[in-house]
Amino acid sequence: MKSILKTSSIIAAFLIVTISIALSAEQTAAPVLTPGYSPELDINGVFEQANEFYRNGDLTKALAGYQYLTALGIKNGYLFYNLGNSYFREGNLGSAILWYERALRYLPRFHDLNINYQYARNILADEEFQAPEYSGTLGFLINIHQQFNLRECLLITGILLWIFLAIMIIRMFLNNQSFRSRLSIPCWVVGFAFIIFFSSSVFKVYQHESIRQAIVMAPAVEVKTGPGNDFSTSFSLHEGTKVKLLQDQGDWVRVILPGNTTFTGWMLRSTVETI
Amino acid sequence: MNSGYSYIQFFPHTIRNAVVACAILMLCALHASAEIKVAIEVEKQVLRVGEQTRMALSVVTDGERIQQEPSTPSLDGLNFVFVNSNQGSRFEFINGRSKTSYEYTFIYDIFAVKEGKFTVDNISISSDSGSVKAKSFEITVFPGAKPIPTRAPSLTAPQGTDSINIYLLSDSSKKEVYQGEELVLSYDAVYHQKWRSWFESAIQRNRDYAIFHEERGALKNFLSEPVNLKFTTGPKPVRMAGNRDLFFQKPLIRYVLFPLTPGDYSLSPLSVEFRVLLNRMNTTPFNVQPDPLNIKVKPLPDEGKPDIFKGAVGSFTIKAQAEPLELSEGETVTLKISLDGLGNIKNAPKPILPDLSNFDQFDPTHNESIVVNENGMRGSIEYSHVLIPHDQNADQIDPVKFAYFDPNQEKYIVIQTNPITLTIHPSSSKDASSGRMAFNRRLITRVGEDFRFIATTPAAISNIVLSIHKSLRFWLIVLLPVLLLALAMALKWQRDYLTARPNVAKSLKAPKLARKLLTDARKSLEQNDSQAVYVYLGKAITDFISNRWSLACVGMTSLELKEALQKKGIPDNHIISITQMLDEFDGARFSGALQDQQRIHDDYAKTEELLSQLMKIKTTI
Repeated sequence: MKSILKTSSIIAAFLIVTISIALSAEQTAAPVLTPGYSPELDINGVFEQANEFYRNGDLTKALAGYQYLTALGIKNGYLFYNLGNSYFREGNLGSAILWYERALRYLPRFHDLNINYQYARNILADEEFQAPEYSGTLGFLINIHQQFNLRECLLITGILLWIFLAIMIIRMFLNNQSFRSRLSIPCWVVGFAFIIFFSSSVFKVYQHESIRQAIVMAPAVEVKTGPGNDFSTSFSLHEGTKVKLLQDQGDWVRVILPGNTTFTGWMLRSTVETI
Repeated sequence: MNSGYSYIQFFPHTIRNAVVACAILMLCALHASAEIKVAIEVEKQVLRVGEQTRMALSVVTDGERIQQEPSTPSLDGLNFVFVNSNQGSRFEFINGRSKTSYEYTFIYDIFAVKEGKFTVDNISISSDSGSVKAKSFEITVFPGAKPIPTRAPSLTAPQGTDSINIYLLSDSSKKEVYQGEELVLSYDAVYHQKWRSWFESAIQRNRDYAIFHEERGALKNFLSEPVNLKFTTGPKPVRMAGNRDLFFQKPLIRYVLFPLTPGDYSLSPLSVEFRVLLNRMNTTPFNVQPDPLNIKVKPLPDEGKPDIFKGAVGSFTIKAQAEPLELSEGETVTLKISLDGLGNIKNAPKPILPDLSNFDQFDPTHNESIVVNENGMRGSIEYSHVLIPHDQNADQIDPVKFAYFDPNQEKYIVIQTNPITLTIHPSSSKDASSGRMAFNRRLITRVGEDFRFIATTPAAISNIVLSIHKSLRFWLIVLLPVLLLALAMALKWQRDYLTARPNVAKSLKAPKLARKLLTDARKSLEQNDSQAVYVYLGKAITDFISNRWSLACVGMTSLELKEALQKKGIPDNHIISITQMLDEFDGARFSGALQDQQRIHDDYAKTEELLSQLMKIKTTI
């Protein structure tokens, strides 16, 4: 009996210690609001206050407010855009591009974001390789693909599937042949739109889950032919340039330039930030 | 036909062999005496020179095929041109004998090229068994107003060969022109009558029978407008000197040219590749290089050249009108100048406007209506000027002038419009500048792109999850309609199944209907309507039986009902209960038992019990 009590007390103590360590770890990760913000503010209050600081030119405080919100785990395109703007005005081009890229994943149609993103890209040290432009039907489909974020694409696909199946069910129970044939055209149109959005969603999910992209954060980085400083330099990149991550090896990461697959090499993991 | 064959099968072998031998002999005899009937129909037998008529030659054979076209006579004055042919066959089986006949129709156009009386008597059809001549007929040709033109062979280079006698005829509207004067180069195909049906078929089907290979830089000293005529207007008959056969001339392409610089030119802007159909499947390319055309371009004379002349050559007219003619200060008036002409209207200089310093002007607009065809270029250009008179003094628009060189008259001509008088009323507003506000409007233009401000909307930010595909709820919501579709398909299948099997449908509905009738009986019981109670109870039982087991028990005697239920495999105890109860209900309806409420309640309960027992029985329909 005593041995059982002893064992259980040891297990309980172990559990208490583990839980308390875990809780303390969470507590240490909790962000702290910088001075200038009232501690009673909720997230919207902090956002408004940060906007007010930005408007008044106090970029340090504005940046601190936006960073606090992102540290809370809030993922919102407008927040990322404002953060990108703050970094840009502070002169931190790499971070600005990084947050614009993140914002674009949420707000691909936001005009101001696209303008500021292009504005920032235009002053990058590296002229990035341009993706080929497509025209005709392929161009139209790519344009549709780029106009919506992943969430919108998935929702539209779901809605189209609902509509398509609803039409199918209605058609199934319609006895009138002329009504049935009249429903064929909307059925085809919705079915075609569904295929487009479904394909776009599949590709976006693939991009979201499988393709890792990053922004160079260091002012200048030498890209090596292998994972180490002993290897020769293949080419160099500068702050704000976008790269695609292929492989991790220790502190090094293998990258490739999105527009030109012949430019590939290794760079230190600490010099890039994943989008 | 089948009856004929089956009849033969019933013969004994020896008789059947004899019949087959006889049939073979008869077929041989028939073949030996194969008959060919020829008939000719001619639309018109009286023609004028240059006219044509159509001839249809019908040939009917008794099982013999015609491999060649009929031979047509060679008459000096009539030309037979093959148009097309068609073929049909007829198979008959009469009294056990088969008979095949072929019908051919050959269509010809007969062109009259000389006057006279012609007897057409040697049209013949050749077959394996010999040659058959068609009945002769006469065609009378009178002198015509428009005889078929005859071309000298020297006019066209004989690019054709013996087998492919197709020529390219090049010509120009003028040999000597002034700089800027319109000139039309024409290229026509001239082909032998035997190619006529192929050409017409290709034109009708828009099949590219001629490909133009243009020489780069051949027309560098000219403004040129090509006019493709390949698939327009049909060919016209033409004769070649020294050749009895008929030829056809088909316009292919025209070049409307305007010389830019004076000089002597030898023009050969293209070669033509004909795609000649030699047989049904294959075409063969046949290249033809036309003769070069020599053109002399003269400079425009200096004598009499007006100051306002800017290079227009041709024949032009000009009109001007203003609308409205009566207006207030600050209002707009539209001056429309219309320049019509023959010649290079497309590149014609703008008419010379009068002094319009008393008017504010908007940028003029213009509309073109220009046609370029085989005859050349013609059309009109309308210039619209929107004017705002400064004040009441701006009451006249002076003549609009235009100068051109007329190559036919070989002199410069200046044309001008009449002056236009306007009536300007003083503005209702004393501030005249208010009327000119409209003129000062400017298109909004972007000065430059600058860095954009932060997003202050939406006021409330929320956490947006992009990867909703990882959420189970999303997939449940998305895939719910798939389940609904499956359910709908099952329902549809069930509906179709029951529609096709009404007995099964009735059987399935039987308990529901019985319960409904029991409910009606209970209602009647509560209303003390004993008569109705028994009616409903009896109906509940009989309807249930008839629906459940497809037994029309109404009108049956108890014995018949008993036997029918036994056949359906209903247990005897239930059959006894059914017949007893139905008898009792009938008896109760016609006896004093209706007054006994307790008995009615008991009967209701018994019926309910019986039906619940019957519903549990699983028997086939």
